[in-house]
Amino acid sequence: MNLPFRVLFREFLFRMVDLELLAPKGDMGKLLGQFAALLIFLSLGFTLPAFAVGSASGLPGQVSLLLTLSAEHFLIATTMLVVGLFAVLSWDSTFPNRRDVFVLAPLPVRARTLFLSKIAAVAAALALTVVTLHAIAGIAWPAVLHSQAVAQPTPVLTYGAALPPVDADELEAVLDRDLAPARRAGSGALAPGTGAGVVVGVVHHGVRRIFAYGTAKPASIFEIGSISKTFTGLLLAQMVVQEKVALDEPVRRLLPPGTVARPSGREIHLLDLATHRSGLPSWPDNLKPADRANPFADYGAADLNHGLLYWSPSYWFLGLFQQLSGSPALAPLARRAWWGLAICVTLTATAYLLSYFRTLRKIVEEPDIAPSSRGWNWLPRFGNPLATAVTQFSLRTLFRSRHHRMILAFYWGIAFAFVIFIAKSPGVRRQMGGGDDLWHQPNVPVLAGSVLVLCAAMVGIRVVASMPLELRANWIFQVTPVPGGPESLAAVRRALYLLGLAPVWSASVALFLWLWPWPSAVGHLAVLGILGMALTELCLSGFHKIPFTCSYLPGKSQANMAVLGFLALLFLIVKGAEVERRALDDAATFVKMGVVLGALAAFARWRTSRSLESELRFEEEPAPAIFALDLHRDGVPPA
Amino acid sequence: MLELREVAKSFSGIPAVDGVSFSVQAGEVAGYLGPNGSGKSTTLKMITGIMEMTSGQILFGGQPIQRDWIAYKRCMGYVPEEPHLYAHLSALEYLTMVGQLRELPPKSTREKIAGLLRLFSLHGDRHSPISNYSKGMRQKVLWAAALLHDPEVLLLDEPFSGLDVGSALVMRSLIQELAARGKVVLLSSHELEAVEQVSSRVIILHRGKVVADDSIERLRTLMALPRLEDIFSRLAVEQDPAAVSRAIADLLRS
Repeated sequence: MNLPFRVLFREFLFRMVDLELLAPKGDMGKLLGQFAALLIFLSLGFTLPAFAVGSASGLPGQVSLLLTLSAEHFLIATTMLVVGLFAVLSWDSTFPNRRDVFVLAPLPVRARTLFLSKIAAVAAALALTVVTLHAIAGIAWPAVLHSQAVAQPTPVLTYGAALPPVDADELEAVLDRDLAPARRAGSGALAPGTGAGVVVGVVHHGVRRIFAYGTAKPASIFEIGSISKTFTGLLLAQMVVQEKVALDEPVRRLLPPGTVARPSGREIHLLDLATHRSGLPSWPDNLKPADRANPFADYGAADLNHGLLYWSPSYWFLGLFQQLSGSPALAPLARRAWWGLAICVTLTATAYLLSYFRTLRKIVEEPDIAPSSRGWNWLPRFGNPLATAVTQFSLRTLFRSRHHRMILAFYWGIAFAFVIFIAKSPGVRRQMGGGDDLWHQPNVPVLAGSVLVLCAAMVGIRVVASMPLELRANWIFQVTPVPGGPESLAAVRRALYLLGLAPVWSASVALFLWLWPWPSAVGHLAVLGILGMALTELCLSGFHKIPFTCSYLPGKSQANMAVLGFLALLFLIVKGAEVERRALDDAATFVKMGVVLGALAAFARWRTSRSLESELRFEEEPAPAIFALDLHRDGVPPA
Repeated sequence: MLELREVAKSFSGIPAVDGVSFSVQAGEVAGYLGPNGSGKSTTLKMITGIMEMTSGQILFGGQPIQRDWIAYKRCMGYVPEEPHLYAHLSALEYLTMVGQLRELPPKSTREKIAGLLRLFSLHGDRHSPISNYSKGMRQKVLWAAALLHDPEVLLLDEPFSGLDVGSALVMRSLIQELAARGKVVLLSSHELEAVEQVSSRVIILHRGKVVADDSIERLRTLMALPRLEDIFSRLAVEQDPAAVSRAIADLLRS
């Protein structure tokens, strides 16, 4: 490696986050230290379940296998998430930018050196991020899973002992005897409180006998359910005897050509289906029947390959990991991972080649911010001139600054990821009391999801508004007569309403009035509105700045504490949504909840106006390393 | 009248401006001169209120400017040394924002902005983002922003920087025109020829202290030097330019 490469590599590596843009006195070492601490903290969090697993011994084979696959999938999905976040946060540093070209072009540094050092810095930063994330979990989990690993041979099929035959005339007595432990003495109810019922029918020599227990009546109608397995098994046996099919015949060959791809491992045979050893799930995870009485009526061959496993890249890479570990069980998923990797590598290589051969030469001529067209310049007034100036400035900055938009998108993305997790995960939905129909009635997952999106939007806009666009241009606010007290607070409040609260609330109006009965929709919109106002006041607390103008010290962000704060907030939101769900059905409770929320919003507003400073702030000062106590000799005033 | 009394500014105990006193009358253009690092821009930043003084007083109309910052800023216009602007806005958007921050009446401000953009030859590019502007165009935007509210005090820090010859001549003429209409103009520039042309008086700063404050004519007579450049060299330039240039050339050859 030549010297220019090493110098540039180091420079680019430490400039993955453009601290100079944020604050003149920012500490890059502190910022990177915080990121590393956060990742190690997460890694430690991932490791805690491993200790619990390690201390458990003699886990059944299936449980151990499920645990291994779950842990592998979780670590893969988390890695992908962190890599995604890394890509978002460092996007501006991924390619050489105008400043690199302006500064380095007059120097005798080859474009190739500049380019390769940039790629090397991005790759090194990415590798360091992943390694730090797995610093603890990446060692603990393999060690634990290895200690638990036991060979799982497929058990040999054996026949269970047959029950002694029962004569039809004696069947009722046998059933009475067998069901006696489950029946309540006197009433004869079967498993009281569950609504359970059993009907047994026997036809013997033309005589029909029907025995009903529990809530069932002799004329009750049941869904046939798993009884069909018996019939199917008998029909299969008959067809084998008739030599129409063979038990070891692969199922794939009996399906229309192309329905199922030839597996790289063992085929599924008819015997596997009949004995429930195929490994196929009981229900397809994408089964959403229109008619529950006939659930497979609208489920065709095309739906077979559209399950979550096939559409979630994290499962593809689980398949790839399994394949590389020598297990072909998830080979179809691994194939998708290979394709995905090939596409990503090709696109990345193309992007870098284009950047090298085209963009690098033209980059000097291009503005950092997309030019605005004449038609999009107009914006409405937002109250008095100061409020209009601040709000229009904030809107234009957010719409035209890619850097700020990307950071805001990061917050929105986290919120949406959690909403999807809440909405799609059956376990979480059940836990939160969400019914089968998630969309057409108020339920806890959707209530919590919308509040979470609102919180993310408000926190996101607070964070991006704290990040300056062009520090050196702030002088214009300092030489113009901008009052720093309540007037500027009102102007900034209006800007935050518009950028944070208004998009979420407007989208909620459209969504909930369309999906829900209007009283529930209006109730929830009122809750969202009051919450949004309270959150705006919290965002304004200590924010004596015009959005996008004050310098920003990342060292103050306390990113590791923010994660804990987020988890606590998530818990509060879910609990709050449970209260709101009950309140939406009861006017008195709803009024009480509205009063409490209104009081909270009023208190937050009072607190904000109380902490108001008379002057706007344009520079964040780092906390001093030494605090002066201002002690002096008696009678001598301090200088 | 703008008046500075014993104004001082220190950075970590090191004085940048050291007891500067002078006054500029209405209708007067005062040239504020000094070598690099002499404290000119620091003084101007203190007069604008961007930077706080360590000690001293700045008065406008006989009142300390800190007594009512808002009222003072309403009648002060400032062209800074560097053309730092919000480059994601267009010139029209930027000037509209400045007008709103100064709470100027919208209708007349719109007309004024359109007129200024036309007269500064920026009208055709008024919708383009400032990031696409040349240095001279950015300088014109600074001028327009400083003049938009018809200020009584005009503080100009290197106002001809980046301007082409024609535009610089217009600005020189404009300074004289504004002074003739009763404005207080404080002009800081390294272009001594321009200062000599438009200023009735010069204040020369050296190492944070005022070393000369008089009309150019009186200085010429007192120091028996024909040009402002010679006066400036005598008072504020410590090195012999010819000797330094020789030393640089020798160093390059070694």
